Amino acid sequence: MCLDIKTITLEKDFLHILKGKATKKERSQFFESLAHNSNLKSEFMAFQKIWVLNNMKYRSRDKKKIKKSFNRFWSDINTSYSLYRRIWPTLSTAVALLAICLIVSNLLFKDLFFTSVETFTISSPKGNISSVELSDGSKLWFNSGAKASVTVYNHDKITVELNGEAFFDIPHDKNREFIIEMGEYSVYDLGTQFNLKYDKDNQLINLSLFEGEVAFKKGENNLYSDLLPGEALNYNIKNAHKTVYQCDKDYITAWKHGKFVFIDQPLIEIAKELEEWYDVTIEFGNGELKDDLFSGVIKRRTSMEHILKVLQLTSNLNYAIDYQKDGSCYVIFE
Amino acid sequence: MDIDLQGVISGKKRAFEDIYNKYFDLLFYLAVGYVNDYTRAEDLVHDAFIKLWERRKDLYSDSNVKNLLYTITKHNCLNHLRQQEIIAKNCRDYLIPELKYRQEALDNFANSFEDVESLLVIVERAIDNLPEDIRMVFKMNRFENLTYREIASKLDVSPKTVEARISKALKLLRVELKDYLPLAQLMFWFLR
Repeated sequence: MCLDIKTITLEKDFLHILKGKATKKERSQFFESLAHNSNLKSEFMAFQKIWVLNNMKYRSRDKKKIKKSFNRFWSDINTSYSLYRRIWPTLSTAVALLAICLIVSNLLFKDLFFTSVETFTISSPKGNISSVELSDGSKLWFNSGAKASVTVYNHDKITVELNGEAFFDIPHDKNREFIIEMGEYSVYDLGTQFNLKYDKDNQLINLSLFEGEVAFKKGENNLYSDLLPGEALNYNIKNAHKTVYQCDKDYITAWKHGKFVFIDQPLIEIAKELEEWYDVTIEFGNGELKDDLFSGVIKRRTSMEHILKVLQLTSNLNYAIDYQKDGSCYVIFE
Repeated sequence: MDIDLQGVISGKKRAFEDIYNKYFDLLFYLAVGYVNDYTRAEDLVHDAFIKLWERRKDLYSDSNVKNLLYTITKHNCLNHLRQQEIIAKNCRDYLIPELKYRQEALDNFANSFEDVESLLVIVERAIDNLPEDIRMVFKMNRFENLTYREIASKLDVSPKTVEARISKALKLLRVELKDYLPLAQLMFWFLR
């Protein structure tokens, strides 16, 4: 059998893509070209098929890993069914309500220079995000419902006790420590940008790093300090389970820009948010819909009708809006 | 090893562990192949097993558990890709061609577990038909999980040669197996 160089190059390119070695740009270009070349597309599809079949047949993870993953499965089904979605739980609960018009309060604490230890607390009311700029140039954003107590010691140390979700943009300063405390856990910042969410009720910590480095600690013990920019860490305090995965800054910080972010969120939870946000009552005509999962990013200034239409278009949900004489409004999902 | 269906229906740990060990990785590599995200893929297959657990009481004595798992996994992956596409529309539209392709490709993948099994037999046969030197390199890489470098040092050839042989093997397989592509793909040829 004879093979010319060109076709082998093609297989090499295919492998490059399938093995995940291509850059984002290469991938994007490659799939764009497939969209316009059905011949190439079916070649690649066949190639991928063989690749996947082969992996299915001959690859397996190591025995310990399988055992561990089975144990997770077994404990999940025997505790609560709702626990099994571990990847984004913090984010989906983090999506709290922001005001239609975002009230951003810029507090400047210039006076901090003249005192040795100064503490202030900041809380972001439901429906608002707040931001603060500290004397050293650090910028902090707090998502709706977040509370924090900030203490500045002699310009060389700043601590933030956090409950809720916040975004940090901290300039590097080797003479100043910046520590965020969540109960006995803490994040040491070394000049970075990151998003941190502490869900005290569910005992979950989610740390997404965008620039620089951070160290995640429990008391004095270093739990994790290898997080790279573009990665996020999920930490479950109850079972000390940690997951590291790739994250997307635009996505995670969407709340900062006044957007609803839903990631695999059941309709019942989305309904709760819409109820609070638009001051309506939502009823389910069809109970099965409650568990339908939705993902998406929607501007909070969008009208309720528009959001409902989006939900309708992307699923088999139907809705009816019922305006009452007393001005209240009912939405029925069916 | 047969599936202990009664054990599955009555929720026995042993029965679930058996099917888990037997099918999880296979389904996992299917999911990885099309979803391209290890953590996600694991969760999607995990969800399929949870669904099986939740629905175990609806199974009959002749239910095809492996096909059920296969179908749920495929459905979960398609659903996931569809959701990703909706998300991407808002802030990452450069991902859309890839996500559209992935959905189409996965949709075109075997319709049932029986199809997977017969395809596997065909692939196997095609591998056996490869020229000797190419087959050896291919098997070392695919079945023994050796890297190109390891194979190169074992066979005393350059890693480039190994890479070329693997590419050749895949090319030959693709040509050999093109008759088994689903009709939908062949239709393109007639419609063009």
